[in-house]
Amino acid sequence: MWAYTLRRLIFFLPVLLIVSLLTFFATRLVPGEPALTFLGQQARIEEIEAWNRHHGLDRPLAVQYFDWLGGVLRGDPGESLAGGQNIGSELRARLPVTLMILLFSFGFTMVIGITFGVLAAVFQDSWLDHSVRLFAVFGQSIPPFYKLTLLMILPAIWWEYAPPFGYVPFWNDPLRALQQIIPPTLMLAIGGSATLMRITRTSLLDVLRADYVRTARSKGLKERSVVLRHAVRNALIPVLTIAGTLIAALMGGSLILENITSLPGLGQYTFNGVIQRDYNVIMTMVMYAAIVVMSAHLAVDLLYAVLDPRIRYR
Amino acid sequence: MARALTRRRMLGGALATGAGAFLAACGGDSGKSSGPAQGAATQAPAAGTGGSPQAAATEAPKPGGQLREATITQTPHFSPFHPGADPSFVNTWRRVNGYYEGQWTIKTAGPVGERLSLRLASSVEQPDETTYIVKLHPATYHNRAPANGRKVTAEDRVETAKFLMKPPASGGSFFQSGKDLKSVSAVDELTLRYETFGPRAFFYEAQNGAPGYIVPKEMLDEETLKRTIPVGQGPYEYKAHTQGSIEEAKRFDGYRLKPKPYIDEKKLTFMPDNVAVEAAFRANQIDAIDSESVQSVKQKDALLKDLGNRVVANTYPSTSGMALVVNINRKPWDDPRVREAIYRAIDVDRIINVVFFGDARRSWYYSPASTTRNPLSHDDVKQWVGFDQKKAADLLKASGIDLSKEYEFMVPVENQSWVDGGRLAAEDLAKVGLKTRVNPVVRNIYLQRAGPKPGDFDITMSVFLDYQYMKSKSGTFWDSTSLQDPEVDALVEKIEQTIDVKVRDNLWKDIQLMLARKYSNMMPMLSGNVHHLRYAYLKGLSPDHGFGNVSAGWQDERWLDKK
Repeated sequence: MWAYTLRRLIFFLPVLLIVSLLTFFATRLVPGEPALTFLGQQARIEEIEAWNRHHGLDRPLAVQYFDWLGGVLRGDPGESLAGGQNIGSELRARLPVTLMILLFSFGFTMVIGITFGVLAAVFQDSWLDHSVRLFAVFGQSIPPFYKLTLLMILPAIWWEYAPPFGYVPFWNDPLRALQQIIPPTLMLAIGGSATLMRITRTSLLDVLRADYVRTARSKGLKERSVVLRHAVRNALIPVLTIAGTLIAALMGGSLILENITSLPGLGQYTFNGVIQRDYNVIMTMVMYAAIVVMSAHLAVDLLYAVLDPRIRYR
Repeated sequence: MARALTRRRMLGGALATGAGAFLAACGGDSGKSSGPAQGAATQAPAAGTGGSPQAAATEAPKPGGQLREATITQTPHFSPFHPGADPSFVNTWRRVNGYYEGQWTIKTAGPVGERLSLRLASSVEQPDETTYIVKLHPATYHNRAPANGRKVTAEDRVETAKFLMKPPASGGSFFQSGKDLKSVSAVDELTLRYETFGPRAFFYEAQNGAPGYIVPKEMLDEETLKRTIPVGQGPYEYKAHTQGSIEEAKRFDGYRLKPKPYIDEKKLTFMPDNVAVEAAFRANQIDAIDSESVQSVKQKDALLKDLGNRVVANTYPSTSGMALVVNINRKPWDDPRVREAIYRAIDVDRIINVVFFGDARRSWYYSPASTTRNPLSHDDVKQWVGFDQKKAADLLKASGIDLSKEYEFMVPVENQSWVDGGRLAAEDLAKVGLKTRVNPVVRNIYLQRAGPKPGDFDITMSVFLDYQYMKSKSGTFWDSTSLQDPEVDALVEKIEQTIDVKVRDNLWKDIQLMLARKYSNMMPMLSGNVHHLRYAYLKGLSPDHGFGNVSAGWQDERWLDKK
């Protein structure tokens, strides 16, 4: 298993290289001067040239790319074009916010999705099953930015309530931090949990009809034991595969969530970078996203073995 | 905000139960002091006035409290002289009512010649057309290390001005053209001498805002300014910040106008989403909401209706009108008959009624300054421009333009009213035979394509130009919106060199008439209103310093009348 993990980690390198190349040249293919974004509409030609020189954007593209790549390999992704801050420092400052959002939203997604998926399968065609399926349609059909916007504005209109704005680190004020985090992450989790619900329900229904489950029942095992010990565990393998892909979706959702709820995480940083055409920020954040997604997929692959001892990695 | 209203209409009520559950789960922190609004909505004051300054003037200001504001833009560094991500508001907040006090500010309203409001400058003399002697107030101090407690001197301003003369500092054309500001020197500890190469009309305007600030000379390099917390001499000093979220300021006890400022602390929260700003205002987490977030008269009316007499609305004429621009560097737009046809083809009143719900005025003038200075009326220009689609169709035919071709009509997608206005304008153009395809693009692309000469567009939109931004040979964004006509250019240069404000304003009227007569490629359409709401307990505003923005103008006069 260790050898397998090492091989997968080594495989990360060419993928990251390709991602970086694609991102670098894709951002440069957009015509025009990013300097205008930063210097404003009345910038003079000399100001634009000085700005480009200052940020090394007057050099050949290959030089710019390898300069950036060298910096990343040394652990220094460079400075933001917008403000000159060190991107590494920004990443470190903002990472806890995004991690907390991902942790909560992924946690809610898994708990809600699997719990209600299992209940829907066990109580197939009951009112609970129909309710869960209806909720799944609702959750999947409304995009996260809309749900989050409604979460902001409707309580404000009806009750003059809004979650407290202005980020507070969790350890400084846990209650306020939870007030800021729980409602939007719960809302963000609706879409993913709806998907998981449907997958869990379908997968579990398949397993519940399998021969070994019938055998377990015929042995006289309690239904609870049959479902939880024998069926659910095997039904979770496709669920886990989907859960791995949901990480990427939640990262995208986090970008929206952080902007709507004013939480200063990596999503907000990425969004600003894209809007401002901040090359260095875009490059770094795309690489960060690629690493997180690849790591999530690796983790899912490794978890298969935990769920199903028959799976072996060589 | 139209987006939020639409969503609200579409799904109003759908999430009531869910939202209630969140409230129950998470506890309340609304800061609300009462239930649903009682009573009728407060009437907005007349355009151009601000709340109840007269009432504020008769009340004794109460000291203390915290002013809470929000912004949808952020600047990721501390420098007042380097452009950031979207340099509009946070730096304004830091500069105008916070950390720095400039030499002077220019009021946006009031009689000609009375708009200069001295701040750190105690007097300004102009012995001849090219020399300015500026005396600074004595006993003014910088607020923090490394200049902690040190007097503000003329030498600080000299070094600041010299710093502004070199990019990447954002000093503007006056400091960096090499043709305007000749020298700046310290005559004594508190006296400055500015010399210009020739008469320069915009000496004061060029140093209004950031270029007029005085930064301690120890701070003057790019990296220090960006990374070190601001050191100034204004009413407030830096307290704390969380990047991308909050910035807090506290009163500077050494401020030269003690006991001002009246408000002890200020807190600015970065909220990039307009809906979040409205939600925060409704929940009384912020004390005011400005034109960045109140984007239509409908939204303003809804807030007034819901929040009742707890809030006050101010309405001001916008300084950034909506103008249609054709690319003079491309055919067929270099043909004045085609431009006249466009002037005459578009039913601007329809755009005002449909897109702006009637909350805008038809503009015949080319500059926001014209809203308060010598505005042009339709009578002034009706012999050249006016709505006449038959004449427009005839002109297009006479010009020989290829009417089978479809032209791109580029609009910045971030401004929904421009997109909607563009669509209606395109319909009108189609009625006279000119086919256009409205293409909304992101602001960045809009700037790239509409900015540098010769401009990569056929038709687009622009804000109005104030005359100090008109450049005859600038090569900037604005060049793509200028007519590039020798007669116009000569008048621009004459205006730039005319110091007398009244004469200059009259010249500006002349140039606007000339632009109308020549069918300028920047065609003024309308000027909307901007709306600003605040809780009634926020008092002491100085509306003649700015339009609409909660932080516009000099605001150490503000105070909170909270029980």
